[in-house]
Amino acid sequence: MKLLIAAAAILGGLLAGPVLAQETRPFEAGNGTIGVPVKPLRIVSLHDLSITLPLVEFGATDLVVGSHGRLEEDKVPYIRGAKELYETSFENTDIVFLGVFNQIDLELIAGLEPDLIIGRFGNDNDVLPNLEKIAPTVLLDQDKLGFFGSMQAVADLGGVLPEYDRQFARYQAQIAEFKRLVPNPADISIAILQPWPEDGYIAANKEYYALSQVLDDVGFSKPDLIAEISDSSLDMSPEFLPEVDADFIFSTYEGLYPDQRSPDEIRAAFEKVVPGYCTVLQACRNNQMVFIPRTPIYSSSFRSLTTAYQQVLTHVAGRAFVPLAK
Amino acid sequence: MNMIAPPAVTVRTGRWLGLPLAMGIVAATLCLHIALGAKFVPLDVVFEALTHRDPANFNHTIVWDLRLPRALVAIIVGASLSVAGALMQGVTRNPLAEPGILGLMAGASFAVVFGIGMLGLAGNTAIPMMAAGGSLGAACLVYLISRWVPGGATPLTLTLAGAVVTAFLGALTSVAFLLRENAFDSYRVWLSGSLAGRDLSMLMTAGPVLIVALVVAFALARQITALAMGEEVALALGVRTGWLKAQLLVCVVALTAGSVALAGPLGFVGLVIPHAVRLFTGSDYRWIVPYSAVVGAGYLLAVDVAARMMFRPAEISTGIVTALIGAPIFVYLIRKRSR
Repeated sequence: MKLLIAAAAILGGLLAGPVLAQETRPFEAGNGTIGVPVKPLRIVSLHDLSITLPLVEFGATDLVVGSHGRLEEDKVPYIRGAKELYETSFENTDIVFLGVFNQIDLELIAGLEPDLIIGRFGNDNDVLPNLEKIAPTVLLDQDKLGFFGSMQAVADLGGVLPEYDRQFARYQAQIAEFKRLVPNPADISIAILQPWPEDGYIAANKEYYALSQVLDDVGFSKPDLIAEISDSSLDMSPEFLPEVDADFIFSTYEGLYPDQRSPDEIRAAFEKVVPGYCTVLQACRNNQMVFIPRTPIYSSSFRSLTTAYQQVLTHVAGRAFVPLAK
Repeated sequence: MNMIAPPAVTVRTGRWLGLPLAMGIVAATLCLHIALGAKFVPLDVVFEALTHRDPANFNHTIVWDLRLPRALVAIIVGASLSVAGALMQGVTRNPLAEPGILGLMAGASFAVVFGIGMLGLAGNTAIPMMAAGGSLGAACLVYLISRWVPGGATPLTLTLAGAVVTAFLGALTSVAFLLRENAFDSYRVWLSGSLAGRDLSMLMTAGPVLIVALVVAFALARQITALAMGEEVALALGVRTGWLKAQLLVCVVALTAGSVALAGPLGFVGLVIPHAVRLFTGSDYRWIVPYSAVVGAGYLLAVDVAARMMFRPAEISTGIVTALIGAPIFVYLIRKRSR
């Protein structure tokens, strides 16, 4: 009997070997230097849009065992960004839904026996002590890393850095092509505005993930008020609407938001916040206000960057426009 | 002459003169509210906007479409919440009573959130109705809890029951948020109490109800004075206390629900204003109620000016400012009461 138990223990040890005895390396994270597995096999992601999605994009879907997600109206969980861009969901993968924003189920994470947990510095600090008891936990300081730095870090952690490098090089070529087609982008101003009618303000966005990254990389200018924002966006008083007028204004609609499902609903929202907004904005008067779907140009992914690139190229480089009087 | 005048006459004269004076101050604050805001609009342009509106001039749009509706909402909500607080303090003989502390606002907010997020109800009729239902439900719950505990519905048990119901409904509101994260993104600021984004359409629905409730409150004020002296005294003076309480409950629910529908849960207005007013009027509700209405309107106008100007070009929720002012006063009142 003792022999049988010993044999079972040895067999169990051999099977668990890859997880228990992984080779590790140091990784500089927002929460310090963390020893992470060189080749992780069971990753838990604490944010769908900025962590799970890049892993899916770089071909590491099979490594993700659990992810934060959101709930559709019928309460079905989904992975924002991954669903829209890659049709990757909790249903068609082995990824387990861990909970919605700031409501992650720690017991569920522990049960998944991850060898690496990736979260966001600032957002997940409160649960860090418990997460560290489960597996090495890396909290990425996304503000510090920036758009590409964050994606690169996720790719690095997932062991799929070469795929990131390949896609990054392709993106750089796209930007170079854009600059060839639009020789003086700094002369063109673009604002990203979003109305919030029930709360009575307009979000003036300095950063808007993939869309603003493309605009910045090409070298377009922003209205001064937006350029001077210290944060990623400003919940601006509607009284300042003329100050954020630009050659082009981009606003987004989002099918998942009940009151923002279409360009018409966004136009109505603008009208509610500022009656007669279209006469105030020269971009609107001249039909240079562009309404595009949000998640495809908003996510942390190269596919979003490409979509944003194509949208901006079509709307800005592809036609004559009436410039804003300086 | 003044020296020989009886004090009662002096006080009465002061009260009569004080009311138009307070209304004058409110009118001045209204002008200030329209003239000042996140963006600087020169006074002559404000005047021009009011007298000769040019639809193509954005400054005129600011005055007419952004500031004026907001000012009107501030006036009616400030008056309504203050009067609601005064009525509740009179009926319950609880100086800490107000719609926020006794759970009515949490009830109204929860009902609105639940109705919009879970039932898909929205619109200018549905929202005030939902708010009224939630407010009434919360009021009944608070009353039942305070009656159920040993000692009955004392000021202390009412306050504690209000805190319990507020916390409970707050938790339910959070659950609703979690389940429908996307549906409520548009209501983040509204839930902290805000006058931003208000147009006249909701005011057209909720406004008449609030005005009727205010008139009823004025009419019942004399009887509240008797009730505030104690149930026995009121009965001895011929007041039908049960009927009066029922009328006042409807009145308070209507005032709270209409206010929440218009501006979300604005805390502490109903607490601060009646106490400030009592310093001048004494304990006579014939004066407390109208003064609360006038001073409350002016107070919310002034607070909203501050909310729009403090962090320009952004604006902060008016509810944040009312809480910043109201919370210390609440603590002061508790301290004063415990002595």
